[in-house]
Amino acid sequence: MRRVVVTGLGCISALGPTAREFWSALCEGRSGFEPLQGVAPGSLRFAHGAQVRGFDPAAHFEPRQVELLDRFAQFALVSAREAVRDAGLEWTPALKERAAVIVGSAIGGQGSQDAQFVELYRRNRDRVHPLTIPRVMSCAGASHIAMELGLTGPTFSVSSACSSASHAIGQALWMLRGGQADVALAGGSEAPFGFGSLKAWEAMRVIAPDTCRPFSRDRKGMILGEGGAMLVLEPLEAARARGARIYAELAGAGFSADAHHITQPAVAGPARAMRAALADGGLTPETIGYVNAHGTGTLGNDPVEARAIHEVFGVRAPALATSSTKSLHGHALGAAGALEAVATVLALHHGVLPPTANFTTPDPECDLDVVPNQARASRVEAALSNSFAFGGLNAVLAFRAP
Amino acid sequence: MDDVLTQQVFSALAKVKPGVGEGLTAERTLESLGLDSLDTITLLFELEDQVGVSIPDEEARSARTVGDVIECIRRLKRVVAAGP
Repeated sequence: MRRVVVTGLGCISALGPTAREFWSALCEGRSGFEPLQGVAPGSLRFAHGAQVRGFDPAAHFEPRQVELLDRFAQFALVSAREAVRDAGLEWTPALKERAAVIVGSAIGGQGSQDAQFVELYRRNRDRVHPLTIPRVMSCAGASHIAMELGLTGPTFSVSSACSSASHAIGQALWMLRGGQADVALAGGSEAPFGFGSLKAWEAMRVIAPDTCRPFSRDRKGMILGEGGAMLVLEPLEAARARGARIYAELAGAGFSADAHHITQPAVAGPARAMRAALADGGLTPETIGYVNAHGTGTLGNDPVEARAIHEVFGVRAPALATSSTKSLHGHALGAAGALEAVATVLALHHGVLPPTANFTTPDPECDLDVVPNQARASRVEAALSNSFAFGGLNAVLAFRAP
Repeated sequence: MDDVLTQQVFSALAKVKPGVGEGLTAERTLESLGLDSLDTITLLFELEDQVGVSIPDEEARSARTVGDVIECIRRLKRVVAAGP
């Protein structure tokens, strides 16, 4: 069986425009939460978000390209460029044909759709812009990456709400292992700060009015985030042959469905996904030294995730380092699994575990070592990254230090 | 007892959870009526529209019984009536 390694990382988020800045902010426990931009004060029950600030599309794209790209696709492209640069890949015609691009997004170009339909419904115009469809389609991120780099292997988008990016990365692992591709760009991107989307989240009553405190007794919900993150994945032997820097091995992936409730989390599905990821990666629970939790900071998720971790790790669970970096970069929905995969890979690479920020009071129902508020120097052998989506769709990635 | 409001809450409940009409009292917990979190936010959404109030998340979260929902809305209506 081919082993698959991570050789390139790209990440744009509220913590900065590159993976390097993302990692520094995580280690310093510096959050990307700020008052929402472009929203009239008092028009929502919450006031904060983890938005990508100071992003100027004109600095990254030609004017005609900007017209074609929704913000979510822009984030996909910017992070893919960084990941490819970081990997130092030499594209040969043969490699381009064997390159997969698999990109998660929960809502695609909903922001563009919103803006165009406002013209129709509110301004009574009788037409929308001809580029609306290509901007809105969820596969736009994957397609533009393929077009820009000339990659012609298996390319598609994955949409499973908050697990989208983890499903995308896991699928890429299996395609590389199975020999359907020789290199993959996998990750996710999301731009969910349209006013309609914010209103929909408000109605769900899961957004914190102040800040996100995962696993803390006084947690009040999540903070929405946005951005994009990509991993360059290659077979181990190919990476070695070209002398690439290997951040970590993507050892395994595990997927499952709760088949329980469209929004309420369950214990069994996540536990099965974690066990499946361990089994797929040939790992035992004892080898796992860090879990990057789904950790939304909602009343519903955190205790259920803690129970699932207890089911899988047994007596080790209370002492197993488990942090939620959503407390820093926000919940970037379909990009969340990719941002968190970058965090997990860099945790293994640097031997530093990023903290759960804004933590105040332990919750007996979340009996975990949440790495509260301070990053921790710790070299661990392997780590999990959890994504558990609305819809009861679970995807867990298992990474191993190289 | 604001019978109009109580009836409004009861009928909104019956719409969200058909069949809860039998033996419905203000003392019943939402959980015992079989409402899950999605049913509860849908109920509050319906009531906000009908009554013309906005129920803060914190208050929504602390409402356990049907009576809690009624009292919460009554309180918010008074705030609205009193003006800014």
